Amino acid sequence: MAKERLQFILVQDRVKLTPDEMDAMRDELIGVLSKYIDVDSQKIEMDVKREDDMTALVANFPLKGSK
Amino acid sequence: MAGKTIVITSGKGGVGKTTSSANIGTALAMHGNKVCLIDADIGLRNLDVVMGLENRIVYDIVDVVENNCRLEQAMIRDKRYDGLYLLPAAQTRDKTSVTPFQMQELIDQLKEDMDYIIVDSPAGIEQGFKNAIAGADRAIIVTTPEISAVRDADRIIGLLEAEGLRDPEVIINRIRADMVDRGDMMGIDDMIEILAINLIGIVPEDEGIVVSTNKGEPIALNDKAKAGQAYRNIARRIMGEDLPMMPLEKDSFITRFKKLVGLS
Repeated sequence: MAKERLQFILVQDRVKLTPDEMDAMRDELIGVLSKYIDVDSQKIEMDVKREDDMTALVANFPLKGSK
Repeated sequence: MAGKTIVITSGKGGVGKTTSSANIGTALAMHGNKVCLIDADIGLRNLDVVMGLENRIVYDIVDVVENNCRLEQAMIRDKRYDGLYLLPAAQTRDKTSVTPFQMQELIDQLKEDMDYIIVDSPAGIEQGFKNAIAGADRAIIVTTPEISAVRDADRIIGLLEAEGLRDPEVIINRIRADMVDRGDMMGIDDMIEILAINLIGIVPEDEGIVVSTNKGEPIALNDKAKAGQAYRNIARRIMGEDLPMMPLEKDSFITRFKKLVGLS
């Protein structure tokens, strides 16, 4: 519980976006990808990970009907 | 001698920066190191009280940078260890009384004579924090297993890296094994995964900390206290020893039974 909440907060802190901007970015990404592939928008996961020498936005866009 | 300067910081207040500074400094001195603790929390000094040295203050860090006294005159020698010193903060001045440049100069001077300089940073990310990190070679972030504290720790990691202080390490303070087991407290692995930095120590919640602070005797001096052991281990890791983390201890059967029947 706490872990998921914290991860969500840190995504916003690390990319310095407001929740509204995050939602807008997510929707636009879905829009672009949907032109080419069938994205399951319910199952999208976005995280901002700190790696050795960079911070990266890591997103998972599962395809509809895929397992 | 070229001493190492370590800043103890957190972002959030009340997570145990001053307690950690006092105990790490004391434990390093126990191993024969020459250590100077610097209280960088100007206006809200407390490291002197935690160390039990408040009655000996004559001059402070602002007196040193304003040339009202020599550095050696402001350094208080610890009651217990010859090689342990405290440079107290000023209580009646504010954080702008010292600049990062002056801090750097002060630390350069101390480095000639000390093995370790431990800087206790104030809470926040403003001028006091910038002063505290000015001369640091290494940073240790203290956090507790609460999302507010971990969130602030994450901000601090970003700020330290922006200032060129790479690879900070973290102390997770006040952890309670019983709460982690029940799923009521974030676990060590989760916090480390999220923050993506190295763990230098785990300090269990210990009532003895309150007692030791009230007495002015750092808990690292207490052989029996779990938190004291944790801080002594952190000092050994700082000195370069590869020491495994102490497993979190659950309450013994007897303690649990006593709690159950209301004896403890």
